[in-house]
Amino acid sequence: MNGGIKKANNNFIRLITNADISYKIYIYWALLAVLLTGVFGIYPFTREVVKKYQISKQMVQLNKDLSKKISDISDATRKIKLIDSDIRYLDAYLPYDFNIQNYMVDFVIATGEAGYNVNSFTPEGQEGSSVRISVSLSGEGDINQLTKNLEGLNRVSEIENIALSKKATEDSLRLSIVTFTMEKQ
Amino acid sequence: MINIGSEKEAVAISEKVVYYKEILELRKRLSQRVSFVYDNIFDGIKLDRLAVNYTGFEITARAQNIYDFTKLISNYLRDDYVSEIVLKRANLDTTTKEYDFTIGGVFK
Repeated sequence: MNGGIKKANNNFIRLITNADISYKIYIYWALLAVLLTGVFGIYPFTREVVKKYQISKQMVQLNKDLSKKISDISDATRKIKLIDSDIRYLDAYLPYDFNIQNYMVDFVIATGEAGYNVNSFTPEGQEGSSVRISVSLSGEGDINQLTKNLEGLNRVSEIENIALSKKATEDSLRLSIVTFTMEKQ
Repeated sequence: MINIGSEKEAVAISEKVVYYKEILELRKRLSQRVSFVYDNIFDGIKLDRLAVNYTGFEITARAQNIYDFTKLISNYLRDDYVSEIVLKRANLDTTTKEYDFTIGGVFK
């Protein structure tokens, strides 16, 4: 048995010491090694690399999208904050609507609180985003309170001029008022 | 996910408010000037007519004596609120012994 193994070993040693044969063996072995570890090994490696690259590409795109979303959200947040700070303006100056008849109601209440009665309330026409109104009042009220009430109404208006005439029984006033609308906005 | 409709609405409201802020900045308030003119009229002056606008005022009144008339003008010039006072008309009513006058003032 040992002799057989020894003989086979000797034959193998003799075979590989033959330069021509061993050269061929090395070449085939090298080709086989390259084929097995190189081609068949590089394929799954390459496949993984491609997958990883695609995932990486997707992640870059997702990051870009997320950055854009963050930017959009920041912009929207800024706008919402701007609106929040503007609510006091809305509450203080914007009426529910801009109909002149509603302004007349507010006006009559404001003049009544100052002690005057409205004799006439005449819109004289619209100029751009404003309406000019001529008003005649009478009574024995407080002119200071009247102007404060009118300028404090829930609407942007401007008293252009005011004329007070003292009479024996009661005072009479004439006012020219400009009230702004949102139509030119 | 951003609500595009809400954002547009917010922008529209913001634009309206900006517009109103511009109007508010342009708005001229008359109440302070009316108070200044009216509150400086004291008991010795009988007011007949008063007219106030943003640039100036005019008063037609009667004074019992020249001192009250002078004091009224002094009151208007005292607070550095009026740049000039113009005497437009003055008349002494010999029956009532009252000075009937009209003065005009220009706001600074």
